[in-house]
Amino acid sequence: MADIITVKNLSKSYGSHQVLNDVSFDFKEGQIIGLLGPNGSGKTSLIKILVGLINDYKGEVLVDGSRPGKVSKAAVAYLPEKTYLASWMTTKDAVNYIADFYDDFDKEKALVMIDRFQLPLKQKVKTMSKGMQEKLQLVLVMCRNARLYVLDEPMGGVDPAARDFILETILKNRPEGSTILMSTHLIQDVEEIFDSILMIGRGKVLIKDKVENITASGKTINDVFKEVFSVDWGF
Amino acid sequence: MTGVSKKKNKFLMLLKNDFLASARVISLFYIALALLFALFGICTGIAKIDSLSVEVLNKVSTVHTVSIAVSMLVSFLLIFVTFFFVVYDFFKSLFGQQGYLSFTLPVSSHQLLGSKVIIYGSWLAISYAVFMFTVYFMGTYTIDNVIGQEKISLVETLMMMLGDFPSITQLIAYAVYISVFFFVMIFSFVFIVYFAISLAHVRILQKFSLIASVPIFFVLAAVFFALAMKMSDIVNVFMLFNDDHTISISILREGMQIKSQYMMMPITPIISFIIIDVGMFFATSYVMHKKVNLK
Repeated sequence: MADIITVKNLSKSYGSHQVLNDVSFDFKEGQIIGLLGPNGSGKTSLIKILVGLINDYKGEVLVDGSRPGKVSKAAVAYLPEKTYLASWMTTKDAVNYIADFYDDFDKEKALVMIDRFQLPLKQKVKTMSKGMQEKLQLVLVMCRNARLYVLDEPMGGVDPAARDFILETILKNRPEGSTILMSTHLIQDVEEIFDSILMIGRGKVLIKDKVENITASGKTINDVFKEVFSVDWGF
Repeated sequence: MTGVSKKKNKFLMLLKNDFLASARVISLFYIALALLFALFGICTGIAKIDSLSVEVLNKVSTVHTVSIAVSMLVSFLLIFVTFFFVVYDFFKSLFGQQGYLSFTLPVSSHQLLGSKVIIYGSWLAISYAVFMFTVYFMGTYTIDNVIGQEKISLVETLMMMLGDFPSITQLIAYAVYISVFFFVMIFSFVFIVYFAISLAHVRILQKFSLIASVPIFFVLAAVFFALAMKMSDIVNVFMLFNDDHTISISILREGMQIKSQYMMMPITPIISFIIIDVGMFFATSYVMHKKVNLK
């Protein structure tokens, strides 16, 4: 199996503030990877580098064999925390927009899911509730047959029922052999779906291992997370 | 996988979507203007009917005058609306939350910028041309019919200009010169605006957001204008409309004797601004790709 993500000696700083400090890791394709860490640990910066939003960094980063850029972006489906659709767009506009740019987007599947999720095709994004906007963005991302899905806090700020719905949508629609990198604070809710964990803090990789190895002692991922960050961070 | 999209040219898709995003508002002004011109035409036609009563004629005349005034106002607003969209769309779609989508599309920053420059530069050029035409057309009509001065029609003015040109080659050269000058200036303006907005979104200036782009724009515009003038002092290339009906390109040197009594058009400022535009394009793409920090 080939590496879907390779990171070697990655450093990123904003002025004098270093957010990633000589980070190295790699992941084979076909896994669900949990990206865990407290606020300000460098998770979002790492994600932004992987999806090509930040290009000013030191070190080597390869996504599906390419440096983050035009080629890798065609292979990566990214779900940010924020609503990224233009407010004037309707559901139909958003579907057509994604279909225009991504050759791996399954428009028919998207329209079926939109119908099932009761998202009106002619409703504008600006008149949708936050929940509807999140559903729409999830459909647009999960209807791509991407090699890597990068999901930044996909369940942040939603109620427990919606969390289950989001998780189910992600797992059901994930193409075989694809990789998911998911950052989350809600470790308890999702830890059973992870194959591997990347735990980062203060810009360093603290744990990078298979879930079975981390939980071999009987501890949950949540327990390990609390342990790591309560010792080092004084929580 | 049956529903997977066909491969599409991504740059064409950028052009298409930038056009759709801008046309939804700008086109409303064009439609309004077209309707006002239609109303103006209808009123002009009705006013020529001899059998109409004075009362009806007065009403038609009022509508006629209103259509002239409103069309001039709408064409003036069109420039502001287009300019607003040049700034708003670039800012919102790249540096607002929508940037998370725009910058993760499988396209280069050159393509992202190129598409916006083409679409919004074209809108601005067309809007400006429409404004000039509307003001000229309605203005000359008002002078002809309302103020009552000697008739100055668009056709007559053009014929006067045509008469001054000794050859059709010179006329074409003049038209090409004016068009190139016009487009280069419009696109230079768009490039400077886009560079200023991009630079205002590097981390150090980000807290000021769009406000920071205002002084950047004015400083850059002043520097580039001075640069173009300085270039003209160093190498003054110009197009000369010769008395023997030909056109020549020359470099003005000290003590040079110019025989033509007709016209000299400076080329150095145009070349300078084209070079500046190319530089601005690559500088803006670089800033967008390497230095911009999305919040």
